[in-house]
Amino acid sequence: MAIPLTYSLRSIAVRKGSSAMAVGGIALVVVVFITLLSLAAGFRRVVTASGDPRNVIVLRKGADAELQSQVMRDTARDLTELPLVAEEDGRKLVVFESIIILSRPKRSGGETNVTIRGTQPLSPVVHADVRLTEGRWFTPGSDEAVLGIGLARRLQDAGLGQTITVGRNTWHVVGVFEAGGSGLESELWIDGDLLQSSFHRDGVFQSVLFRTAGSAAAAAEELNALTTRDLRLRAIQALTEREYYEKQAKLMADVITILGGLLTAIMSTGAIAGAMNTMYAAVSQRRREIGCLLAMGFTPEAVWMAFMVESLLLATLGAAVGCTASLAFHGMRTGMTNWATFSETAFQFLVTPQILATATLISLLMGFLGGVVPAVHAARMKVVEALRRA
Amino acid sequence: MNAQPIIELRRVSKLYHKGDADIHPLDDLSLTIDRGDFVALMGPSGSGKTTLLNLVGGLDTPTAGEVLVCGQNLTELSARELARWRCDHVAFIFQAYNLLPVLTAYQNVELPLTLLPLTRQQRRAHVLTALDIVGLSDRLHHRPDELSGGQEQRVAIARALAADPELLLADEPTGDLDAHSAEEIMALLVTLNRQYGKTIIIVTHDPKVAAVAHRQLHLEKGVLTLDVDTLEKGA
Repeated sequence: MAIPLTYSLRSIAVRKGSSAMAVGGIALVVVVFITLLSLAAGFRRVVTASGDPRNVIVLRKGADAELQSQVMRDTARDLTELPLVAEEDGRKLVVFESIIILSRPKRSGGETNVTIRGTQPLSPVVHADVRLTEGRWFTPGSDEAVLGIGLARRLQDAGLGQTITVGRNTWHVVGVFEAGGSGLESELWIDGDLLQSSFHRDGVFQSVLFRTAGSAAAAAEELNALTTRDLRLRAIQALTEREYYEKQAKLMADVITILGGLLTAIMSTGAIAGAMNTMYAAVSQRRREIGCLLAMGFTPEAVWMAFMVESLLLATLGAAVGCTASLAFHGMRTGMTNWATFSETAFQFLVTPQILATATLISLLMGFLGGVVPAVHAARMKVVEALRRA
Repeated sequence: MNAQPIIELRRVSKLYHKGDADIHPLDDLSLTIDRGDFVALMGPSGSGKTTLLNLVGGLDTPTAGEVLVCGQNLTELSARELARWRCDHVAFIFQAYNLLPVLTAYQNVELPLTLLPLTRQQRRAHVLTALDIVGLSDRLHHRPDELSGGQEQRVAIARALAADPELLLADEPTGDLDAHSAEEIMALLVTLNRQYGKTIIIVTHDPKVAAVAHRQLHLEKGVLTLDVDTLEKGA
């Protein structure tokens, strides 16, 4: 028969100081864990949201990112002729794009790399969910630019009506766009031809993006098969745009998750030691209570369970405090250099129910590990020794 | 009297090792105590009184000999069976009361009842009766730190009574109390013995407390040195 739950609950309430220390230690680990995982989740969502499921991106064979890629103008033109490319109002939905990376000052201090994309008039159509929020699109051939909303929030002196000067080039920001929360919102878009001439990229693009007439996966597969047969296309590879961005997100998100796991493991050791200390103190202080319970007829297993319940209750409280505190981070905007593009990606912390559930499970594990040894110590006490007056 | 023995100790010895020394708190002790008796165990410190009480209560096991209590040979029981046996037959009253400080008087008295197959209503009835017997019906929801020493010991006695055990074992129950409270507690124990037929064994150093008992057993170095009938049984 179990010792009533009231006993464990009241014991926690009575020892406010040591209970608060144990709860605080566990809550701190929970906050760190949730923060890092929500960072990874937010980053992953932004990057993976960047792809339109209907699009295929073409890069140089072996390139993992646009930055490492080169697609020659002739190849790009050949791709345009393929029947895989969808048409709308008589226009082929395909864009040839170039990118460069430039360092710009951040509002929060320091500098960050910014992706500058040389686009074509159809770029806002072919890219997913791109929509102006302020101003207008730039005039083709002019020194005008539009800025992604994520970048507008994070860059210093960057916004509608302001100019961005890099070396001899100055761009006037005439519009701000959003792109469904994707990584495109962390880019500056300028005229592709202007970028090509300003940065001596004549005849070379970083990628070709096209809307497919049917399934993107099938189109990518068909195009890849074609590259083995058609000599003109042998230097390129095709991926669905979703697949491309998922690959980009994976490395960074995996690293953050692993770092989060390591940091949590290290901090957990401290929190487990804290919980164990609290529970050892509880067992030591209540030696005669334990003796009395055993004398009444409660079994050692019931005593073990009472102390385990107490430890798990402390852990549950720690999880509740930590999860509640972590919710304050949800939606908070931040930015990080994406290792795949070497440029700033703006995103929001994303505290998901899955992360909260995992953090709670980790707390319970800490409570279990912190409580199990003291609880065994309590259960193994000899009644006669436990009852002896100090 | 045709009293039947409730406790029978047959050549019981207890041996401890402390460092290199062997300690014999009980040495080849044989003893019988009748049902309904009120026995005072006396003797100097280290004479084996508490060890004897612990053996009778199934809290400890002898090194040699047999301990039969309430018809059960305790030396044959496992630790788990002993726990169950204690719950059904015996209750303890300690010098330091040993109430659980986080629980109210009601909850402390109810605690041993949670081990028995009783409904919540049945448990409530037992608790209220026990607290009524010890005169604390008006202190149900007080915690130990809100009670006087005498009241705490009365709650401890109510807790011991609640499950209606045959045998009450008290280890210096008045040791921490002032004279007035001690008298009240002894009067209560006498009532439990005479009106409710509980067999009581009390360990004490106090001759006035011992004088209340029917029988005084004096121990010295683990050996019974004196066995005195102080009152006429069944009075």
